[in-house]
Amino acid sequence: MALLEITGLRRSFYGIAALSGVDLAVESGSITGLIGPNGAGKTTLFNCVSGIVPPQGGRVVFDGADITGWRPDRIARRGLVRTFQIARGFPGLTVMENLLLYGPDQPGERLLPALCRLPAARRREEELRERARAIAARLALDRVLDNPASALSGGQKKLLEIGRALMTEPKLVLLDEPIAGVNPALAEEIGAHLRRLLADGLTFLVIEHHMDMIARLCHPVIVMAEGRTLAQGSFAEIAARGEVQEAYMGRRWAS
Amino acid sequence: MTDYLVAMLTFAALYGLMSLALNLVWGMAGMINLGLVGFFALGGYASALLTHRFGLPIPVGLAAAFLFAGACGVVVALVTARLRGDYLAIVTLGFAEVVRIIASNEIWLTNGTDGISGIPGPLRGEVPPATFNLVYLLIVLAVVAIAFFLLQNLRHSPFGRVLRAIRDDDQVAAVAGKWVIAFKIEAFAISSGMLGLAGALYGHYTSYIAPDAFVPLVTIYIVLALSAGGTGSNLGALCGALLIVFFQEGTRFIAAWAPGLGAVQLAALREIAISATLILILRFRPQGLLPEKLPRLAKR
Ligand SMILES: Nc1ncnc2c1ncn2[C@@H]1O[C@H](COP(=O)(O)OP(=O)(O)OP(=O)(O)O)[C@@H](O)[C@H]1O
Ligand SMILES: [Mg+2]
Repeated sequence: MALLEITGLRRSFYGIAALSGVDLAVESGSITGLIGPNGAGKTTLFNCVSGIVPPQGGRVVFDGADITGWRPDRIARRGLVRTFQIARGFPGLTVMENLLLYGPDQPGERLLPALCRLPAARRREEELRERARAIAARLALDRVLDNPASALSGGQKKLLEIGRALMTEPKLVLLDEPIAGVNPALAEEIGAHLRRLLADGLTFLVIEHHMDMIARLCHPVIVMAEGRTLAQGSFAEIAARGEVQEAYMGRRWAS
Repeated sequence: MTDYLVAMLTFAALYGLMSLALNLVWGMAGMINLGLVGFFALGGYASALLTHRFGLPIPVGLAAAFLFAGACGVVVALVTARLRGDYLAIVTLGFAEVVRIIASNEIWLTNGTDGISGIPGPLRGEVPPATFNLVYLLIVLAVVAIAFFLLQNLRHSPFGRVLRAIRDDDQVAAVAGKWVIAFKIEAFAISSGMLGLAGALYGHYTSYIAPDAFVPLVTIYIVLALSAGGTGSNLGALCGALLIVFFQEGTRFIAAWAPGLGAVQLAALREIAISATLILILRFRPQGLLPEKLPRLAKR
């Protein structure tokens, strides 16, 4: 059974369908690629799966549980976390705090332990801080940990998106264009990093317009167009198919 | 003069308590509450009725004020759960006016616009008035100190971090695994409870409450106090409250060096002096006198 199974997912905005019955499965232990032209509905799919936008039909099953229509925080705590295409986050918090916020099981987030500074909260905070430092170091964010997140460069904000997702100790990470705006050397590193995490047992579903990254990293690759899944297979198979080329016609591949 | 100073400090401490409450819900969680005076009134009436009409001890009245205003805060937070910014401001402003109008009209309960007089105060009548005032100041200061200590704990805890995250982007906070609405309700409830407590302390101090003490202007003063002191900072909240009371009272002495002005003109002159000072502060220090500081956690 697949880790994430989506069947017949629908969502429209103001009468126009963004998702018109998406069927898609992500196998455990894969880096699955999701490509498709602008406006195909990829981000909307992420929004519906992560609970930010309620779907109007269909089913999302994650890790054996039907999570359709769940609150986003319950979905996140179950082990499914997503990043945002246009980096979002908490500009008024430092980079370190952005990372710590995503740390799970912090008793200090409950009212009474917070009011009386429970030692258990302090211990957990130390663990999370250690973890945040390690993640920041790998994403080259260790120099800016104490800066407000609003002071990061565009690329650094994208990296922070990934770092925050990793803090949750997830099973499945949905990455929305993780390397858009990141320099080639660091993009390469991120790719290598994803592969290492894959070996550790994580699973990824990655939206990306950089075809070379998709080709090197993702298997299988799923193509979406006009709110539907169009094709699925290895990158080579996908690239050879006429309807896929047609779906992409008229737009540049690298955004 | 000492009596005057003591009274002024007591009012400053009560303003400080309200300003701390506003800092929790607005400064930290980013929810603007313009119904401060409504919760203040709820607490004031709750404690006055319990102690005056039913003869319960004052500490019971204070606790009841906290709990009753806090419970009303939960209801308001639930009703306004999906509202943000301007909409939340308008609804909470309306809530406070509803409280005031109910207090003016439900005469059987609140004695209407005549208000409730003879509210007991600790040791009132047993010691000289000056001693009472001093004791009461110490009590209010102790309450403010405890509130400040607990809120500082919250501010620096993971709980406070979640509130500040919600202030920035509640959708991303939800993706981070936080049950946003629960945090918002908790913050709103504690803040409302503190306002209720402040209202109760006010009633036991002046021994008299009436609807005309609960006008929106009080809320505006608290919002100004926090903005000038530093939104997001507990110390800023206290500092702003002290500043506002200092100006309100200090400008009374304008009369001394502005002879020949009528009472109405003097009152207007005071308002102008207060407004001008606040405009200057917000123009040259938009983040307030003691702005929120970010923690430095990178080093181990
Ligand atoms: N909240 C919303 N309100 C209205 N329309 C929306 C909303 N979200 C998405 N849409 C519409 O749904 C369609 C799909 O958008 P989506 O963001 O999912 O595309 P995408 O595949 O991620 O494109 P891109 O590659 O440009 O990021 C678009 O036509 C978009 O305008
Ligand atoms: Mg998109």
